[in-house]
Amino acid sequence: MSRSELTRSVATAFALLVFGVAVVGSGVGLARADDFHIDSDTAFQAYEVRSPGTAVFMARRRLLQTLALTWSRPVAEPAVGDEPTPRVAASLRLRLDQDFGQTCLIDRDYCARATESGARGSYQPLASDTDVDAPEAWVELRGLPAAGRLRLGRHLSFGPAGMLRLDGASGHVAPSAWLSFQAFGGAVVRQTSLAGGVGTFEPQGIVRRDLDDGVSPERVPWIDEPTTTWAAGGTVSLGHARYLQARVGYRHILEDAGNVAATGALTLTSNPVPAFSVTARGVWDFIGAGVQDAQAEVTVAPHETLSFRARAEHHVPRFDYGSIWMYFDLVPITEGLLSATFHPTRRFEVGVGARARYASLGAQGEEQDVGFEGHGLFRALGFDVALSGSTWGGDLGPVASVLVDIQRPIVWWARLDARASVWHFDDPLREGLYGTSVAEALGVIFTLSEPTTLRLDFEHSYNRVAGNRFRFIAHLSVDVWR
Amino acid sequence: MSRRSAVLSASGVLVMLVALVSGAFVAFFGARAAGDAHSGDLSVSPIVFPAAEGFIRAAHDHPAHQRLRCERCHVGATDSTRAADVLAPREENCGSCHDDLMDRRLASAERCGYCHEGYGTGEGARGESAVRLPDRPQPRIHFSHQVHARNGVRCLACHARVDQEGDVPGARHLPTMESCHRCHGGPSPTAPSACATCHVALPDGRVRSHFPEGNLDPPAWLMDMNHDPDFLVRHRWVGADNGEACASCHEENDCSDCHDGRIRPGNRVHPNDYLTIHPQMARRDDHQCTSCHSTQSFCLECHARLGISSISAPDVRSPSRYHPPPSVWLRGPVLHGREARRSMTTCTSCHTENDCVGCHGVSGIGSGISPHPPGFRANCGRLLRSNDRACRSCHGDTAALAAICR
Repeated sequence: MSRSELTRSVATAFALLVFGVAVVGSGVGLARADDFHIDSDTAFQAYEVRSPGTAVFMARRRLLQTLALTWSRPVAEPAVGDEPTPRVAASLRLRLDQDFGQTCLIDRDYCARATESGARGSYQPLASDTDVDAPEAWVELRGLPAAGRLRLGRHLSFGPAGMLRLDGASGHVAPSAWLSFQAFGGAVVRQTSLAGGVGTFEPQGIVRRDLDDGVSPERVPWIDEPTTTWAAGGTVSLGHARYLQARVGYRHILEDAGNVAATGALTLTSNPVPAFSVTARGVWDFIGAGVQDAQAEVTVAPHETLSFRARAEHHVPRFDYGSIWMYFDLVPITEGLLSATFHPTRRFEVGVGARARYASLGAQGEEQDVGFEGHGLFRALGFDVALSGSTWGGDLGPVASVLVDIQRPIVWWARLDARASVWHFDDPLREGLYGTSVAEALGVIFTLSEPTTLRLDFEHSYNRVAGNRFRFIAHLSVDVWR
Repeated sequence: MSRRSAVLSASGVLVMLVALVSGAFVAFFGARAAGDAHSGDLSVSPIVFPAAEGFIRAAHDHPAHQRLRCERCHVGATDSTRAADVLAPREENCGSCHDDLMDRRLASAERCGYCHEGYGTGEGARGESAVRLPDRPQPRIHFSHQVHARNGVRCLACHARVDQEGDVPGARHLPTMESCHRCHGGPSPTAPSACATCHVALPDGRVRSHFPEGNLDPPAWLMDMNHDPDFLVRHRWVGADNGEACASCHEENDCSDCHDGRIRPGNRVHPNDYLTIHPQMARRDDHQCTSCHSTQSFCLECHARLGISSISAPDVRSPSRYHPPPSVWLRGPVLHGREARRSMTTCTSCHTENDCVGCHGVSGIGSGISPHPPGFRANCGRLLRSNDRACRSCHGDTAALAAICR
């Protein structure tokens, strides 16, 4: 199936979903036990992108329409003791991402269209004006005995080694507060997957695409053919966090060429009293035989208004084991955080923190950076005010920022949101990429009805590198149960 | 860091601290001045128990009251099955002892205000000062006093300290989630522990967490799920470990709305002119960037269209170099090697494998320079057998490699 045929198929499904939503919205022919959830997001953004040093700019006028219909029906009487009612549910979510903007060389009288495969001088195979995809399409049984849940179809799977979107199955069962199991398996959703996929969660490293008609592979030697990538794994959780909880997980990803990733994860958590918790996590890379991620955190709250946190994190960049990047010398990054938060009332919170970042580059020395941050949240006289600031200094170059966000209801159906920020940046790797950026934004959030909100935002920023930038965002959100 | 940069950074921090401190003073004293119904009750959620007014003043610690059973005044409490039931004492329940105060012909602040909090601030039918009508919004929780009473739960187990603190009962005497979890949670729950047992649920069984007054966030002590500003960083670990708990409130779309990189996720993640700042931030937080943005699609596509990638089409390719001059980038200090070690993810946001293979592959000009980490050869046999695609990309025939990499 070619890319255009795929797009047409998904567009048809989109139209069917719209029809389904209309039927549901009109309340025609529904059984009383059926519950329907309609969730629609319409976002329009207008902004321009220009890279310093190039003549190209992108005038983006983007429309993102997401539409989802979820159906849910009880399949049994509620269990004894107010436990959840067993239900069957199904959901289909479709998304249209349309770019009305242009990619032009503005310094010449020439508009270079990146999405026209015939335009050899400007065609970019990764670019697309219209993307239609189905992020979710699943059927689920939930509220089963022992907190059981089984989901089939396209959905997200979470784990210590990251997120995956799968065309497959996942399930969870917790026979007691001390024991639970989770398992998943299926095909990883790639940009090239059937019915419209997005590459957000596919393994990083190899560019795989369906080529447009008339584009030969020789013309784009850096693009690989589509392939099916399989993933499977599971987690066992034992113990209770009141004493000690251990979670052991494994995830394997592979394709025709061989293994893409094989990771094991261990998490230990103890939260003996509300005032104290300690967690340690590690992810082991079985293929490379090394630590991929490690993290440890201690939280102490001597009083309900005061808490302290210390965290250390170690991360090794990871790619698809089929890509060459995985075999380069990749330097681990180690980060640390010390923070304190004081919140004497629900209307007031202030926090400060210090961060450090370290990487050893072997013979090429070390990289050290230190940062400080702070935030304040308070509500007074009808205003919700959020203040935050941070600063970093060291080998990665200085960055400092101060942000303030003030919200206030004007009338019961409209809320004003004003934001301002100042950033200072100085990139040591790019000559001339330094400056102080001042930005301000004004938005209004309209509550049109309880399930319907409209947000309008206008942003402006200025710095010496990019000059003035403007962005307009309109976001209509509808979330309703019938 | 240059001196100018250091001064500017220090100025930024100073401004931030001044703003924080002054904001803190304004907020703290502003909140106190405005009166905060829940200011001292951090564990009682104002979403679950919206602030109420017009309580009956009753000194629970008074010896006469302490001799009474709770149902003596709170008539019907042990038969109540809904949290919305009004169980405040009625006039006739108080009248058996306080009959002397109830002669309306002798109404005064001293007499009526003895029980009615805020007497004199309400508007009576005839316009004179009168009892302020109680404003008790319905709690957003399922609660049956009857079930708890039949299971032998004492009133004070949930309404802690109410017998010791006189005057007006209030939010501080309502049950907290922590107190509920003594039976409804923990290692050995003795009562149903599903979220929807107590919380208002949506038709699909998830807890309803969005309300006109705000969001119902989990308490700080529950599964490390404190939704504080740091949760923006921490939620990836919490979600990985407790995904089922997250799903009790959130649907999958709550994740993909941000992580699928389509809708700009507001001010908190990408503030100010992030387009200009993002190269520097990406080198610092590359693993955070890739949690939403795929380098091989999102980043590479945009960079290619803008003409700054090696795969940019000829007509749009930038004539100027993005990187420092070849004398330092490729030769001399070999800065590109250092940067590749430090943040390969950043490299892959513009470059494809062919760019590296062209030089570092066996037939390239840099074939004598191995990009592999020290000690790679000891492990390469296993890697070759696991997936030889990458080996073939650079070395071509893997048969020769197999002889070296055992």
